[in-house]
Amino acid sequence: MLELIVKRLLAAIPVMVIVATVVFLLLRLAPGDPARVIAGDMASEETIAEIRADMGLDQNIATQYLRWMAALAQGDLGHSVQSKQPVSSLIAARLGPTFSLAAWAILLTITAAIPLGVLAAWRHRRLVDRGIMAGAVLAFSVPAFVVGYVLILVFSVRLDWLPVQGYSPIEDGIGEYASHLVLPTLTLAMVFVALITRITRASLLDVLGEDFVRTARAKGVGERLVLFRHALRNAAIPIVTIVGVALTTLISGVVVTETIFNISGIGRLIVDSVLARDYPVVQGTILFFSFIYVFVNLLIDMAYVILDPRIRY
Amino acid sequence: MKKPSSRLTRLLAFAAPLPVAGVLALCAVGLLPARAQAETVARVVMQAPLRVVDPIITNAYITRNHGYLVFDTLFAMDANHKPQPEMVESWKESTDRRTVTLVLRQGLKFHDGTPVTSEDVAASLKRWADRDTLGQRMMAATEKLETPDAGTLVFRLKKPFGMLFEALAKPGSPVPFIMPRRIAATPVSQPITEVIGSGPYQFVAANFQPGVKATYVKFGGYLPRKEPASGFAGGKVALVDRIELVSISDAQTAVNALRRGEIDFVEDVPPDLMPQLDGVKTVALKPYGKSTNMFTMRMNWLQPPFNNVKVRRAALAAIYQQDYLDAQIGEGAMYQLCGAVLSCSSPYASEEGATQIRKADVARARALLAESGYDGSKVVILHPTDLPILASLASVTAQALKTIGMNVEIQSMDWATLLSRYSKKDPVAQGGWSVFQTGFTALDLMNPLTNPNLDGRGETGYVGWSKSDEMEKLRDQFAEESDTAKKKQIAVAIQKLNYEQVFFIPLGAYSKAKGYNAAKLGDMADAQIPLFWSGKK
Repeated sequence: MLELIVKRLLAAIPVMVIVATVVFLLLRLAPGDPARVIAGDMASEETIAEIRADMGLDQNIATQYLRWMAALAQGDLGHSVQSKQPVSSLIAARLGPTFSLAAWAILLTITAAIPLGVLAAWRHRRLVDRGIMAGAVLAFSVPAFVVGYVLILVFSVRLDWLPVQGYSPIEDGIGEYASHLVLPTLTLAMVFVALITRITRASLLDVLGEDFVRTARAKGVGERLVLFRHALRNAAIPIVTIVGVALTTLISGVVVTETIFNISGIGRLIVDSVLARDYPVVQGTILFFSFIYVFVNLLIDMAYVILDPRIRY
Repeated sequence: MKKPSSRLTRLLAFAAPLPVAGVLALCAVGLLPARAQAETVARVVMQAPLRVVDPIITNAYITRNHGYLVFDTLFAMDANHKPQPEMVESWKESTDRRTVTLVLRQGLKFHDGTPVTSEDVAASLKRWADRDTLGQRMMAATEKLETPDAGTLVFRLKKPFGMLFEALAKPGSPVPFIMPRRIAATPVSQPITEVIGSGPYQFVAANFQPGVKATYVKFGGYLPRKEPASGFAGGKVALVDRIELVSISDAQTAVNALRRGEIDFVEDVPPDLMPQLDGVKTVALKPYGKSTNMFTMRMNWLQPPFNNVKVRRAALAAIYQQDYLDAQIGEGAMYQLCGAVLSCSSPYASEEGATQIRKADVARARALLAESGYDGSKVVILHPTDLPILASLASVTAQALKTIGMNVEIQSMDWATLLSRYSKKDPVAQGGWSVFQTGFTALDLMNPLTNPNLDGRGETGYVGWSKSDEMEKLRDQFAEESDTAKKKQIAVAIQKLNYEQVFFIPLGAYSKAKGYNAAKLGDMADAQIPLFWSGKK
C-alpha cells in the first residue's frame, strides 16, 4: 500500500506540471486583460500600460511562464493581481466553507443513498423500489438553483427557521455553523443522493444474481450476511468509484450552491477570478483542484485494494 | 429473488431515514438563538465585491464607495452640486484669480494618529491628478503647489482655473481623497498597500477578505463639520460603530437576506425584486434620485460605417429611449426620458437638441442612411453577458438599426473580454467594433471635463475616439470660466454640438433603489451613492 501511495504521488508531479502549463497557456490565449479590469472602463491606454508593466504582464509569455514555474517550484503560488494578497492565503480562506459543505453533502449522500439503494434492490420492482426510483429521478432532474430557492423560500423566508445565506465558521458556535449549512447541504446533496442510490441499486442487483450469492444462500447463510458481507462488498467497486467522482465534483462544482447561499468558497473564488482575469488566482486554484483530484483518485484506488484483494497495482 | 428477512427490512428502513433525522437535528441546532450582536453593526451589500482598495488606481464604483468611508476630501459637492469646504476651514482667491490659498481645519488626523498636513494633501492631489482627467487639467493650470506651513496649501496658477473647487470636490471616481504623504508617494501604477485615511471610518485590514468581506470601524478621532450633511458635504457623523461590507452576488439572495434581517442594506435592489419588499415593515426602499444613472451608446468614429457623421445621425434618429428603459428597467417610476448629455441631475442640464431622442423617426433615419451612401458594411455591437444591468441594450439597438436597413451583428462576451475588445481600433473584420453601450452614474457625466463621452481628442481620447477641435475648445472654455451663467451657456453649446456630430447617444436616465433597515440606517445621508453618515447626532 505504501508503495502504491509513493508511486501515485510521484506520478502526480508530471501531471501537475502539464496541468499548470495548459492552464497558463489557456489563460493567456483567452481574451481579456486584468489591468483593464482593475483600471475600469474609463482608464486611458497609458494607465493600462503602466498597470500591466507593474504586474509584469508586459513581459513575453515565455518569461512570464518561467517566472511562474520557478516560483511554483518554491511553493509560491504568487499574488492576486487584484487584491495583491497571496494566492495561497486566498485559497486557504475559502477552503473551510467549501470543505464543510462538501463533507456534509458527501456524508448525507452516503448515509442516505446506500441504504436507499440497498432497500430498492432488495425490494426490486415492488412499491418501495418504484417509490425510491421515482424520487431519485425527480431529485436528479430538478436543478440545484430551483431546489435552493424553494428551500430558502420555505425554511428561511416563510418559516423563519434557518438563515438565507452565508457561512459561519465552527469557531463562531456550532449552532450558527450548523444552521448555515443545512439548506446548502440539502441542495448540494440531492442530485448525488439520487445518482448513488441508482448506482447502488443497479450494482447490487447485478451481484445478487451471481452464483456465489445463490451458493451462499443455499448454504444457509443469513440474509443480513448475504447482503452486507457478500453482495454489498462485491458491489462496492462501482459505488466507491462514483462516490469518488461525486467527491471531486462536489469540491469543484459547488458554484451554483455557493452562489445561491452566498457561501464564499473555492467555487466562487475561481469564477470571480476568471471573470476578473486574475491569472495567478485562477492558475493557483486550478492547480489546487488538480491536486485534490489526484488525491481523491489515490484514495479510490486504495479503497479498491481494500475491498477486493485481487486488485493489484 | 428471495424475499428479504423482516429484520433486514427493518434495519434498512431504519437506516434510510437516518440522514433525514440528522438534518432535522441540524435544523434544531440551527434554531438555537443566534449569538448576541452589537446593535451598532450594519451589514451592507454593495453592487459588487470589493477587491481593489486603492480608490485612485481604479474607477470601479465599489472602490469609490469604500473610499468615501475611509477617506476625506478638501471640498465636497452638496445636494445642489455646489462645492463646499470639507477638510478646509477657509480659503481665499487673489484678485487676479491666480493664487488660491486653502487653510485646513485644525485637529484633523489620520487613522494612524498622525496629523493631516498640507504636504499630505499636496502629495495626495498629485497622485490623484496623475490618474484623473480633471485633475490633469487642474495640474496643467497650476504652476506650483506650495505648502508654506502644515496647515496651508497654496495653488499658484498659470492662468485662472474656473473649475478648481469643482475639481477638489469631484464626487465621481477617482475622487481626490486625501491620504498620508508616505502612502500617496506610491506610484500611481501600483496599488497602495495600506488603507489609511482621515474619514469617518477606519478600514480593518486584518479582517479584509477580498471579494468576500471588508470591515470598517468608526474612527473616534474624526471631527465632523458642524453643518448638517448635504449630498457629499456637511457633517459626516458615523451612523453605526461598525460596517461590514459583505458580498452577495445573487440579487434574490440579497433581497431574501434583507427581508429576514440578516443584512441591513442592499445598494441596488433590482426593479423586478422590489415587490418582494413591499409590506416588509423593517425595510425601507428608497431611490437614490430620479435620474442618477444614464445608459449611453458610443459609436466607433474610426471605422465604417460610423466614421460617417450622416450614419451616426441616422442611428440617432432611429433610437427611442423608451425602448431601452422598458427593456432594461421596466419599472416606469424608476426611469425618465432624458436627453441632457451632462445628465438630468446636473446643474448644466438642458434639452438643447435633445428632442430627437424622444421619438424614433424611422423615415428620417432611413433617408439619412441613404444619403450617407451606407454600403451595407457590418455593424458589430458589443454585448456584455455578465452584467445584467446592461444585458438588454444590445438587442434594442440591433433592432433599431436593423429597422433602418443596417447590417447588424451582436457579439456577446463577458465584461473582461469586452474591455479588451473595445480598445481595438481595427476594422470589425479584424476584431474591431462599431457600437459600445454602458451605464454611468450621473456623477461621472455632469461635467463636460469628466464626461468621457464628450471627449474630442480623437485617438488619444476615450474609446470611440471622437475627434473634434470645436468640442475641445468648448471644454477648455468651460474649464477657464468661473461664472455659472456663462458656464451653462457653454454647456448648452456642447450639448448642441453633441447632437450635431453624435459623440454619443444618451439612452435614458434611470435610478437605482436602496433597500435598508430603516431603524438602523434611517438617517443615511441622501446622495447618489451609499453614504453611511448623517448630519444628525
